[in-house]
Amino acid sequence: MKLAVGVAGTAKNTGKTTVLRVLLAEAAAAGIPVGLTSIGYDGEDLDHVTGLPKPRIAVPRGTWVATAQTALRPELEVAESTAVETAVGRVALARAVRPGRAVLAGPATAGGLTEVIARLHRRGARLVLVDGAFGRLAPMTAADGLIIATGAARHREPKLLAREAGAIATLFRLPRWPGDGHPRLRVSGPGGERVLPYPALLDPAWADELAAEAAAVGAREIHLPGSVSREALGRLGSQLDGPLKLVFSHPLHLLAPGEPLAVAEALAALAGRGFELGVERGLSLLAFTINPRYPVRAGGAYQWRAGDGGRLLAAVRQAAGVPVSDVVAEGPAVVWAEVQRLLGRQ
Amino acid sequence: MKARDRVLDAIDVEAFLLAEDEETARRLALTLMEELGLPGADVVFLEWRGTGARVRIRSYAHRPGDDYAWLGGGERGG
Amino acid sequence: MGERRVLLAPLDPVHDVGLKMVKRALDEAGHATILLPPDLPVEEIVRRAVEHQVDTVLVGRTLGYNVPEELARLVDVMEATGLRSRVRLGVGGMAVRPELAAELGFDRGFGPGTTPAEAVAFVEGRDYQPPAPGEGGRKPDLTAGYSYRVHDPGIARTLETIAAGTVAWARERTTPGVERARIRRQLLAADPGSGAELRQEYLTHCDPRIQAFYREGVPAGRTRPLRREEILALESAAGARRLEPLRLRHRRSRPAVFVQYGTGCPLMDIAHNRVGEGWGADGLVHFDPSWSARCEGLMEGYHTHEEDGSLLTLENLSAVGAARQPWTLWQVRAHRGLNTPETVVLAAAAGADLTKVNMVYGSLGAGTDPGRLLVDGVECLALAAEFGLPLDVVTNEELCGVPAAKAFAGMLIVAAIAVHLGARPLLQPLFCLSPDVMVNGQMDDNFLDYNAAKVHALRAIMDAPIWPGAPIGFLTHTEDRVQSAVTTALHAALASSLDVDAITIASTDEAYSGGAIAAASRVDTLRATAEAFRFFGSAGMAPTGRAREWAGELVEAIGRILEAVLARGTLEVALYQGLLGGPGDGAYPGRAGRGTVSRR
Repeated sequence: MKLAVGVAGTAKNTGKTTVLRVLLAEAAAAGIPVGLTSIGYDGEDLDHVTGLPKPRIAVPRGTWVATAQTALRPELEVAESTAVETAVGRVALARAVRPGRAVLAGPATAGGLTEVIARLHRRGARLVLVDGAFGRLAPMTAADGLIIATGAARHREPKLLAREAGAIATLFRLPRWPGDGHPRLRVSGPGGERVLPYPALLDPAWADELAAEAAAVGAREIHLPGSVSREALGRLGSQLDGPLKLVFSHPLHLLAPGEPLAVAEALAALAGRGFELGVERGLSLLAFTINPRYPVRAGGAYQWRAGDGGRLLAAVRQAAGVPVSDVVAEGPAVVWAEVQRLLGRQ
Repeated sequence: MKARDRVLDAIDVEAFLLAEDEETARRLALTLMEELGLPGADVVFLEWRGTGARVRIRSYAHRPGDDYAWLGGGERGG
Repeated sequence: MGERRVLLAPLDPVHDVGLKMVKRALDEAGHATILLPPDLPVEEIVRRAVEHQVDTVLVGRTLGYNVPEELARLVDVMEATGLRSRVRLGVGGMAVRPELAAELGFDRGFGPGTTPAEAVAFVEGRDYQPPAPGEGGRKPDLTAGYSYRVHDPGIARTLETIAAGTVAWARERTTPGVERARIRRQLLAADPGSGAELRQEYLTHCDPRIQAFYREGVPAGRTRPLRREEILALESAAGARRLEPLRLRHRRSRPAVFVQYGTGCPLMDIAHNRVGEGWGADGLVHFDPSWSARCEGLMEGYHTHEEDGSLLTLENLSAVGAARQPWTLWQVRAHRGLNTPETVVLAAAAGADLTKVNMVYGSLGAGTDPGRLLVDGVECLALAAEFGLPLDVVTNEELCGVPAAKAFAGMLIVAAIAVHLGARPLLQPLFCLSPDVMVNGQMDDNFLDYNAAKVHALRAIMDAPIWPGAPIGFLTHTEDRVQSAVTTALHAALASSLDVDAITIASTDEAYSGGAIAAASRVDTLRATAEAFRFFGSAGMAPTGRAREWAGELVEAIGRILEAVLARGTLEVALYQGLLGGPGDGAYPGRAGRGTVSRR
């Protein structure tokens, strides 16, 4: 019955704050108690980088907000403090005693987010909305569902944007093989199990070591927790023979290096050679949202420009395999329906 | 030709803005330029300490590559 | 505190100087540091963090195009690799603000102005306690450690004889100013509501203008009482939140930097003083209206004034004084005019830290009758001693054209009287392009030698604190902001290089006479001064050999002048006869208060 949904962006200015505002309004209209936090910092009037005005986060009365004490506004009344630290101070849980604005400064890590979500749930928030930051995704492993905001600020070319969205969606469709969450590279086969001291596949040299161990035990299964670098993954793949299961930890870990197209292509190549691919854990990718506007630097200052919203939307829809919407042009229905569906399912 | 047309490149506004925080000061700085009718402003320098901010805010009358009104084209308009 | 393992990763194409400074501080604190080559890919940095099993990763990067995205990617890969639960992440760079660090997912951001000590505290998981300004959060005693010994026995005897004679002379006399100070003290001590008789007595010593204020409520000068909401705003300014000021001095602990205020309105004064304090000023100097100095008696209550100078009332002073930061030094001047003893009484009652007295300048350069100001000034010095208020002895008569030697002789006499009475004076030579210097050419080549000569000369005569003023660089400022900031900064650097105790600086509006000083102009000279202090650090400016030669000439000339004053019998006569500056020097004995001295 209780749920946490993250709203992340593939880049800045892809409109995640707008999506968050829409979801807040819909939840309020549906009478669903909401908790709100962020994995970064949001809610200022102007963007840190571009100096452009940003949409404000309006919170209805009764909303629970987890934000740094230093970011609290008068309409928020503190109920409890936490030990979760941010770069602007310790996170507190507060309730909007009247409608107002929120400046969100929340837990930057998955561990901190897990704790904050649990506390918001305990306070009665049925739906916790988690604001993403700067294209960062990895802490969202603490959420149950994810909405990804993308658009012209990420890529102006519709085909490229669509290919990338498709690649991201592919990762979320990987089969889930629940495992023990062991945090090291590991191979197992008829010859036994070998664990390497590395928490991720970040170095081609580590890939070589792993391949050697795989050969030594006649590996049937390789566990690859954490993120993978494209180079190391290619290096590993080139030294392996099937049939073999490659088990990754989480789709968001695969996305962390910020190269979804490259990672998806590398995985497709491995699948093409008969390897079975899966993840130990995952979360539901609920929808993509599209923002056709993007900032450009003109003279000394940034200005907004508008891309072709229709073309962007059509292209991403064709590639994504999940609902896609421009919440400004089309309203909140598509995205909100996905959140409701997940709420019903939980 | 307007006096503004004779500005070689930029108009800077120097001021001290009372503001409770840096973000507010930045916003006020840009709003001030709008109020003064100086569009497309950029905050060149802003330092906030406690009660307000020392700011230098800039609006370009002519950027390199623009049509330069001071070349004389503006005089025809009288 | 165990040893921490710290990875330092410069993301810039070149090595980040900030990171190297942090590395040095961490090494000195006994931590293990690994400084990576610049410009490594994110995955490589994370790989090194894994291999070295570090507790902390510090990233240095100047923000630019796409840099926030790169930093966010580093944070995300750290998270995905499972390191974020045990590795703390900090980022430093010119444009890094705490909010940006939070948005990027770092545990801490180190922006401009942060010190390596802050990074060390972060690595060690401690709260960073910044060193409070003003010597550990307390106000510095600018006179501490000075003996006031006069090195030359001859000059010592002369000064002491003049001082003792002047005090004895003054003590046989009184003035309306002395009487009002006595009554004001009684009024301050009286129960509220009582004191009607005392006020009647006070008014017998006042100008008609001041009598009209008390009797008919007519404000004197171009003043008006503050409105109710203005008074509420004034009172709520007291004890306002602490500022975190710009760190003005770099490594040195001296000089304390004073700024002057006196917009006319106490509310505006408070706003301006907060600006001064925010940008690192250690002290504030109150300026009162010049007309009030020629008027017998002071008003009461909260008043604003349409022209330069803020009215001296207990209420005005208390409001401005209470709004200052706990470490801020505050000076209320009593160096000229007809109300000087009462001003010292009010300054002490309002909690001021310092006052300003100089009967020689006040009578030769600022329009007060010499005899009158001598009697009042001696009373001021006795009060300053009683209240424990150190005072500077200003020498602005140089601006009229009086040569430095004469001005300094007068200053030393007043300082000797102060010491004789148990007060603690600070010597205030001008750092200025004075008329005398313009005529005689001591600054034709540079501004260092003669200003340095003045400090050397004073030190050769007396072991006393030195506070060049007021403001430094007098007559070198123009209306141009940059020129004005630069000349202030260079004079401040010279003062710092000479290791003086304090300076007073101007704003960049010093030479502008068309209106009140703007707050932005205050910021500019303070920033410029901070920059000059940073530039020179504990290194010094190098005057030429002329500085010592001129210092020697000054000491000799001062000795001769003091002898001449002594020979003239009384200081009063010496002043009227121009021994410490006469018409030939552009100095004229003042007329305000003439004929108001009476024998006790």
